Amino acid sequence: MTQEALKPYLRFLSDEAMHKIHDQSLEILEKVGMSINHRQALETLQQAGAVLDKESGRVRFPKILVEECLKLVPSRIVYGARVPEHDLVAEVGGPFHTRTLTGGEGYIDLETRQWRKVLTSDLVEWITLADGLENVDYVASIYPDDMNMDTRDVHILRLLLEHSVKHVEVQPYTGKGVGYMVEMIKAVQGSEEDVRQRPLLSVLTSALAPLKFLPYALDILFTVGPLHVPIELNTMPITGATCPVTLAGAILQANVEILAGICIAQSAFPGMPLMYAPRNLILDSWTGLSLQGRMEAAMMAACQAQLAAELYHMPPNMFGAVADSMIPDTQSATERAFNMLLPALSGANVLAGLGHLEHCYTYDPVLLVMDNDIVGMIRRLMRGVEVTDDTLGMEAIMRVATEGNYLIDPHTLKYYKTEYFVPKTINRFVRGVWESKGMKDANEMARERARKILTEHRAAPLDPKLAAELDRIVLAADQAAAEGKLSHAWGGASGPDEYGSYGALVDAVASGGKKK
Amino acid sequence: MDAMETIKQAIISGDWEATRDAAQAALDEGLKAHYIMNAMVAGMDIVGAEWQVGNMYIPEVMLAARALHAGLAIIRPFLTDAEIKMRGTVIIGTVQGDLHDIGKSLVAMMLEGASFEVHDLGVDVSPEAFVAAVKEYKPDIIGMSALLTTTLPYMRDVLRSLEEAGLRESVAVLLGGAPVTQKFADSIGADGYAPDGATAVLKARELVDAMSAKHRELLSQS
Repeated sequence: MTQEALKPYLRFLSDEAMHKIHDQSLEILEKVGMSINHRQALETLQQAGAVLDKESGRVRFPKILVEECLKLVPSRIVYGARVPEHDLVAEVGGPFHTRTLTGGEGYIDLETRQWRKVLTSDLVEWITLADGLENVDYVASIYPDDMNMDTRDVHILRLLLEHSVKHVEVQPYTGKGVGYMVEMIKAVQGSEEDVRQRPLLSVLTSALAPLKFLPYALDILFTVGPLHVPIELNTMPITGATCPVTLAGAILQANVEILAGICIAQSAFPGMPLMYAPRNLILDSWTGLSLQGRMEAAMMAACQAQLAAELYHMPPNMFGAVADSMIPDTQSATERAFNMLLPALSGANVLAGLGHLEHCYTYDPVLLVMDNDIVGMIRRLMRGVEVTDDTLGMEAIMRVATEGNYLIDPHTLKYYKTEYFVPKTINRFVRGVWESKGMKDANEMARERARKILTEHRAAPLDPKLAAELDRIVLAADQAAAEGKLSHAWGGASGPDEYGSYGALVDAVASGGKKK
Repeated sequence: MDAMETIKQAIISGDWEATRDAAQAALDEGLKAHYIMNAMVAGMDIVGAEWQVGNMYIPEVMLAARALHAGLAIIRPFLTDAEIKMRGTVIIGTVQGDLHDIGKSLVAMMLEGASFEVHDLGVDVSPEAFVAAVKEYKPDIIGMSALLTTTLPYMRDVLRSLEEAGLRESVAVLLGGAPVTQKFADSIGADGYAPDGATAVLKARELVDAMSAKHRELLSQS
């Protein structure tokens, strides 16, 4: 008997509930649509059959258009890596992968434990640590404060490529540097074909709740689209502030925004890899802050993972390791544990946010090491409980009853290493020994592991010729920025500014792109 | 790899058949039995050190101990009595009224792994039985364990019985078990306390070294 373990699965939404969310999404898209001020997106959508409404300034999506675009979304995405053994496959129904947080600005120093704005040296430390942790599958950018803001995304990618051999992700803060980023990836991978097969970069781009896409977000899409660089299609509606206050309403609106993104991407670049990646926030009704670590956020993420996987056959990418706490403490541990656990149980293919505190604002290397262990625990959970004649150990039970010893029984020796996940940053001593070993808590153990990794681990170096080529591209971006010429160099995308008004832009689209 | 290294590696990998065969092969090559013994002990020392820092786990230590015994069985006929005398002799048991076995058995096996000759008296061992075993085995160390707070007083009784039998000076007493603390061990006049198996091995070595030093001192005085 070699029956596999049942994969644990958590399902919050009934089929009826999922279809209701889908039907109402289509109705919203058809009746009020989205606000989109982007020439290429409008051209693409008009050609695909969307309605550009000059009066309301909105694009309306016929149901058939949405349904057709959904059919084009792949259910399997390959995430390439500089060292191919780290390539990942995100596939509906498959295991989850993890990545670090993107988007914060603060950093907690490993030694002093003081908070500061992220420095470039922190970025290098962060990437090295993430590259060296076995349960961090790919590395997303953190955002140094001491870089040239115009070309920061480009510089960040340069450092990611040098200090990690894993897949990397950047959340560009401007559309203007993305062309240079694509050039860098092409330089590393050698051919456009290799980029298409196993892109080693993915990017995040986002709708703006409620029901809007800013031009820069679509610049990103149109710049990476031709090479099918995967996009985390994101939106961050805040309950009761930029979306309905109810969980169901928040899920519905996020779905509308992501479906609109799918329509733009698939109309322009059929078959383009996209992840369903909403990050629903919860308005704190006392402070007005948008919080992320709440149980309800985990519940929404679980619903959205289920919706993406079951209804849209599209890899779900969820927030994961979130926390509203300021430091790694009991609050942060609780928040991140269930915010990873619930979406993992509901089919998420990516859990993001590793190492994150303070509602996405702060990175902590100590916490990243602890998250690495939580991921290990959840991976163990997802293996389920394997029940076979061999795992039941009936023979061992009978053997030990008469003559044996479990400690050294063949059954024990066969399974004791694989049946259990052993976290590296937990206490495993009795009090006296713990005291004699310095009374370390999990934070301190994680800090020691971080130090060890940072001392011992280095990513395989870049080929010097390649490094020089990457430097050349970064320099070109810097020079263009210095001359005020940094633009949508490769995508050719552009926003509405140069047209003066939305109406003028729509007219331009209608007349084939000519300015009035 | 030379014969000694092969034996050492066989112990470290916990492979009793390989250890047995390597010991036999070394004997056949004409190697002295006590060199083979030293190679096995060197392997066990590495296993103990690796376990201490968390690189090896209890089953691996126990497999190594089993391999050591397999090797010993081959070379024992060629060792002198003095050479067979290992690092020291330990009698060990869970005290009267207490049936908890697993921690004590682990420590016993760890000690065997560290080249001690161990006589496990089992559970629910009365003070009289401890005294009888001391007379029979002439151990360097008595190891006592308890899991229940209610059975702790029996440890004191064992010490008292040893004193009454005039045997207290001949043997070091090492305590272990969840309710035992260093303070308790001191309060009843035990020689040592170990919170876990790894520490028990270290303490046992310390105690044996201390006792040999004491014996040398006594001899030089007489």
